[in-house]
Amino acid sequence: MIRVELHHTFPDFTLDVRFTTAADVTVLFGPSGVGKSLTVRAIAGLFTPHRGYIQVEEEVWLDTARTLHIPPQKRRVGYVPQHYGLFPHLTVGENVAFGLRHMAPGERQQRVQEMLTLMRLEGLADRRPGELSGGQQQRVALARALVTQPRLLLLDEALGALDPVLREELRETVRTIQHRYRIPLFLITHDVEEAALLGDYWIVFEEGRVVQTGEPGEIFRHPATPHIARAVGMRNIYTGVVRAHPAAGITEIQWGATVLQVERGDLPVGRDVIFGFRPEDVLFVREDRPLAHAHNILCVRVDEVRLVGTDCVILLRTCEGGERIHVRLFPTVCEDLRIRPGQRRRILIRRRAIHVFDTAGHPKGMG
Amino acid sequence: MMWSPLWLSLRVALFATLLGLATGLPIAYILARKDSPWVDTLGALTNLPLVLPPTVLGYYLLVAFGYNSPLGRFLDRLGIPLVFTWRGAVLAAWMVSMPLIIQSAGAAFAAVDRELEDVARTLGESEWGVFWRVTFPLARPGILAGTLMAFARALGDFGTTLMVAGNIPGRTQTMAIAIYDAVQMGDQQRANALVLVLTLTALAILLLLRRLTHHLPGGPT
Repeated sequence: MIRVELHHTFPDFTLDVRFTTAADVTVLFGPSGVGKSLTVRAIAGLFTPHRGYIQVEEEVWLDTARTLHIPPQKRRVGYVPQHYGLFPHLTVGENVAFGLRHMAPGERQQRVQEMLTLMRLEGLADRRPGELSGGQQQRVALARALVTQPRLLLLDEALGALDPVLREELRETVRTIQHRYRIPLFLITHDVEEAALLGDYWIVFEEGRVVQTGEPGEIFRHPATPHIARAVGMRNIYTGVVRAHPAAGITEIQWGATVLQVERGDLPVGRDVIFGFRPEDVLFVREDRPLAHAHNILCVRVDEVRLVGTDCVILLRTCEGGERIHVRLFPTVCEDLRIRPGQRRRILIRRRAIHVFDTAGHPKGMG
Repeated sequence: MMWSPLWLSLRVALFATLLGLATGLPIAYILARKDSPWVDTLGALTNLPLVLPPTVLGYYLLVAFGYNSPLGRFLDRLGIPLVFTWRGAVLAAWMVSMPLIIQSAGAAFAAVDRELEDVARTLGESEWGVFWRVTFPLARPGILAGTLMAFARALGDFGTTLMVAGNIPGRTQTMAIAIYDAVQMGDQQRANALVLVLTLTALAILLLLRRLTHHLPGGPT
C-alpha cells in the first residue's frame, strides 16, 4: 500500500494531492501541467513539498511534520523520466550497470546481461543511447531502473509517443515486469488509451488536485466531473431537470421535450442536473422487432455517418430540440442497420448507461 | 636566450591554468546552479578581468601581494615572494585567464540536463558521485575548451605580468615581454623569431581546441 499526501504552493500553482493505492499499476491521469510529474518527483525524493507524507508499505519516506525526508539515494525507486534520461556519454551496458556500482564486477556483469536479455537488448550493450531507436531507448531506461530491484517503478510519460504495435509490445513488457518482479508501478500519462490499457487504478488530476480515483472501468462509466467525462470519451453531456420518481431507484429527467429515466433514487424533484452517456451506449431501435420497453426511446435525425479508424461514428440530432448526439458503433453493425444521412430513426439509451453527475467540482469517491 | 622566454611562458601558463581550474571550476559550478544576488555579484566580479585594463589588474595584485601589504610581507617571510618573481607572473596570468574557464565551464555545466542527475540520484549515487559520473563527463568538452583558451590567454599575457613580475631576463621575462623588449632594443631578428614561435604555439593550441570540441563524444545534449 502506498500513501501520498502533498501540499506545496508556488507563486502561480498550488499542488494539493492526497491518495492511497495498492494497485499493481497505478496511472496518474490528466493533461500536462496539473502536477502529475511533481507528484512522481516527490515520491522519488527529488522534490520536497512544503507539507507532505509519503508511505510505501511500512516505510515512511516523507513526513514533514516530523521533518523526516529519506533522500532519493535511499528510497530505491526506479525512475524513468519523460525523455528516458539515458546517460549519453555511457554505453547501453554502462547505463544499465550505473546503479550497481557497489556490486562485485562479475555479479554486476551477470545481472546486466540478464536484464539486457529480458528487455530484448542483447547485442546492444556497447552502443551509445544516441544510436538506438525510441523503443530501444525506452527499454534501456526500464532495464536500468529494474536492474537495481527497486521497491517502486515510476514512469513519467515514459511509455508514450510510440506506435500502436510498440505500445502493445510494451504492455507485454510491463506485464512481464509485474509478474517477474512484483514491483508496484506508477505511470504518468495524458493518453486515455494508454491509461486504460495499462492501468489497474487511476488517479485523475486537475489543476494540482486529485479529482477522482478508481478503477478505469468505473471512471469510464461514472466520471466525477463533466471535464473528466470528456477526457475519457463520454461525448454526450447535457443538462436537465429532475421530474419524478416513477419507481424506487428510478428517476425521470426532463431533457427539453424528452423524458429520460436513470437508475438513481437520490435526486430531489426540481433539481438541475448534468448527465451524460458514452457514444458506444447508444442503441438503434430495429423497427422490425418488438420493443422490450417503452422508456428512453428517442426520435433522431441522422446528420452524418463516417468511418473513423476502426469505428463507425454517427452524428445525430434529436427530432425535438435538435440536441446533438455522438454515436460510435462497429462498422459491421453500422452496415447491418443501414444508417444513412437524412434518415429519421429511433434510438434507445439504457437507463444504466446514463450517468448523472453530482454537483460539478464536488466529485464522489474522494477521501 | 631565445628559448628561455618560451619555457618560462609555458611554465607560467601551465601553473596559471591549473590554478585557474582549481578555482574556476567550483565558481563555474556555483554560477551555473545557484541563483541569488550574491551569485550574480560573484559572476560579475569574475568577469571583471576580461574588461579591465591589464594595468589595473596588475595594480590590484601589487597592492594585494606587494611588499607594502601584510600578505606580501608574510609570503616574503615564508620565502615565497610573489612580486618580481615567476610566481608573480603565474598570479597575473591566472587572473587574466581564469574568467575564460569560468565562462566556458559555466555554460557547459548549465547545459547538463538536470534530469540525468536526478536519475543518477534515484540509482543510489551520492551528490559527489553524481558530479563525477554525470555532470563532469557531460561538461568535459566545454571545460576542456575553456582550459585551452585560458592556457592560450595565459601564454600571451603582457600588461598584468609586466606590472607584477617586471622584466627580468631569465627570471620573469616571458615571451610577450621579451618581444616588447626586443622591439625596444631594435633587435628585429630576435623579435621576428619570438613572434613566430608565439604565433605558432597559439595556432597549435587553437587547432587542438577545434579538434577537441568537434570530435569529443558525449558533448552536452
